[in-house]
Amino acid sequence: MELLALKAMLADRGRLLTGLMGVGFAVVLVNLQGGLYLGLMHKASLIVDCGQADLWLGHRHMESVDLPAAIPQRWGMRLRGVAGVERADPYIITYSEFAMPDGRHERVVLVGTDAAGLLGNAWSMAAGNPQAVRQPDGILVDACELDKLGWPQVGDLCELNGRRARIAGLTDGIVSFTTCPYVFTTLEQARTKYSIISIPPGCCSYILVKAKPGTNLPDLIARIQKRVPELDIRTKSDYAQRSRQYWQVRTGIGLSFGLAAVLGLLVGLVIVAQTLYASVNERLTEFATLRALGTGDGPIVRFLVAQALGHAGLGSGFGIVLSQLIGRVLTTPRAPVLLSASVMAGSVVLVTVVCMVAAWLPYRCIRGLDPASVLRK
Amino acid sequence: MQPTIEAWDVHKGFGTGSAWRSILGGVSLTVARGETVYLVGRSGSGKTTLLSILGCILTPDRGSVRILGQDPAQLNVAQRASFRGRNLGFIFQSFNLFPTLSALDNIVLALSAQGVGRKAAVLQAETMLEQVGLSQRIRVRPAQLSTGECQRVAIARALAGNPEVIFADEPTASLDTENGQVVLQLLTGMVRARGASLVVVTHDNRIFPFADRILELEDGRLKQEQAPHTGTQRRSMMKGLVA
Repeated sequence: MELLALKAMLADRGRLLTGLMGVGFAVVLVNLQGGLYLGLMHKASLIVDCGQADLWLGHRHMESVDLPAAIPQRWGMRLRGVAGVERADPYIITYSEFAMPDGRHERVVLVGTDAAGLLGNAWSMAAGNPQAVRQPDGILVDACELDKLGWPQVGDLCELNGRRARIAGLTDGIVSFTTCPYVFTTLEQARTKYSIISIPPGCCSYILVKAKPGTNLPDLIARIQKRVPELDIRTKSDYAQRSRQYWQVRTGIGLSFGLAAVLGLLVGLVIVAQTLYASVNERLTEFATLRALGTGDGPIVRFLVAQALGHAGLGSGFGIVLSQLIGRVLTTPRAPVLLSASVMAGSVVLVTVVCMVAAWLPYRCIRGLDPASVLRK
Repeated sequence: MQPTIEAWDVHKGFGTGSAWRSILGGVSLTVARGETVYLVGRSGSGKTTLLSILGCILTPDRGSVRILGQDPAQLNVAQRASFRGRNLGFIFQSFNLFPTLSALDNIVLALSAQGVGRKAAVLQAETMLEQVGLSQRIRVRPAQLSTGECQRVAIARALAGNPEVIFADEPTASLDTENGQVVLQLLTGMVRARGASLVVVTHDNRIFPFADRILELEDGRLKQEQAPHTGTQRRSMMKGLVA
C-alpha cells in the first residue's frame, strides 16, 4: 500500500513539485534560522570555546565573558602549587577606543593575555604570528573588522586610547557578539596603556587555568575552590554556555529566531496540507471507489501517511542540500551560519511532524466520503 | 441451494421532512447463484439505489436484504465495508481508476487494501490482466489506455478478489457498440467461469442477450420480468464467450 502511495505521488509531478518546494522551503528556513542563531551564539562564547584555558576563574556570579569585574591578580599565585594545574595566568577583558586617521573612533573589546604563557591569546591568524603581541606596542586586530578600523595593515601605527599601538598581526574570524571588534595585546599593555576603564594595579578580569593532561576537572575545581573560595570557577564548556545564555535571555534573540523558524514551519505546513488536500480532492471519486470496494480506514491512513512521509523525506533532502549551499554562500565571520548535524536533524524531524499533521485534513475528507457517491449520477 | 441475493419489500427514500422522496416502494427479488440479472428502467426509476442496497453500500429504510446469507443492516459501516471487500466486486460506469497508477497497480491497490500481500497481489493482478487480454499493457496508465481497455482493467479489479457477486453500474455507458459487446462478453464469460452472480444496471438494450433475467423497475417498483433472448440466440451468444 505504501509503495503504491509513493508511486502515485511520484507520478503526479506537478503536485509533487509544489509540495516539495513547500517542504524544502520550510527546511531551508528552519536550518538557516537555526544555523544563524547557533552562529551568533557561538560568537558570544568564542573566546571561551576557542581559548586554551580549561577553567575560568572570575568574580562571583560571572555571567558573560565580555562583562567581567576586577579580581586580585595575586589570587592566581595561590593556584600554581595546586596539583593538576599546569598554568594559572591572569587575563584582562576591557574596552578601549581605536582612533582612525580620519578622526573617527571605534569602541573595541581589549583582550590582554599574560605575555609569558599567552594563555587566552588569539588562536587563528590571517596574517602574522600570534606571539607578535609581545612586540612593543603590539596589537592584533581581526581581518574581518578592518572596515570598522579604517583599513589598517600589518605594521601600521595607530592610536588606542590615545596611546601609540602597532598592528602586529591580523586574526582570522575572531569576532565579538557585540559590535565592538576584538583587539589582542599583552596584559600589561592592556592595563597600563590601552584600557579606557581604569584597572586597579594588581587586578585582572579572570584567572585562566590550564590543567595538566589527564587531570580530573571536577576534582581540580574542588581543590582550587579551597584555595580561592572568593571566586567562581567554571569549566570552559560551562562558562561558554553561560555566556551564550546571557545574551539569549537579555536580548530575546532566541525568541525572534524561534518565531521566524516557527513561521517557516507554518508556511511549510500550509503548502504541504494544501498540496495533499488538493491531490486527494482531485481523486475523491477514486477514493470513494476504494471505499465502495470495501477499503477500511487503516489502508487509507497508510496511503496518506506514506505520501506525507514521502513529501517529508524528499523535501527534507532537497531542503538540506539547498541549506548547505545557501549557508556556504551566506556565512561570514560576522554572521556565521553553523549548520550542525543537530540543526539539520531537528529541521527534518519538525518538517516530518508538519507533514503528518498536514495529512490529517485530507484524511478527514476521505473519512467523510460516502461510497454510494460513486454510484449516484 | 440458497439464493445469492434475497430482497423482501425493500423501501428506500432520501431527504428529510417535506423534501423526503421515495425511491424504492417495496421491491422483492432473488438472484440465484451463478445467475446474471439485469436491472433496467428509465432514469429515476431506482435502479442505482437498488444496486447500492444489494451491494451493501446502503441499507433499506424498510424491508430486508440477505446477501450470501448475511443481512447487511445488522453490520456497522466498517463491517459492511469488510463484507464488501471479501465477497463483492464492483464495476463502475466511469471505471474510476487511479490515473497516476498503472493498470497493474490499480488492481494491486484494491487487493492490498484488502490485506493481500504485495507479491500475491502482483501475481493475482498479472493473472487477471492476462485473462482480460491486457498482459502487454500492465505498466500503462489509464490515460494511455482506450476506454475499452480501461473497463477491462476495472473488470479485472472487480474479479481479482474472487468475489461471489459482482455489481456493474452501466458498464457499457462510456463505450461504443463494439467495445460494449466485447466488454460484456468478457465480463459475462469470466463471471460464469467462476460460478459467481452478476447484477447489472443498464440502459443499453444491445447487451440484453447476455442476461439470464431482466428485471424492469418503474417508479421504485419492479414492473415485470423481460425475456432477454431465445434459446437459439443464447447458444450462439455463448459460443462467442469461449476464447
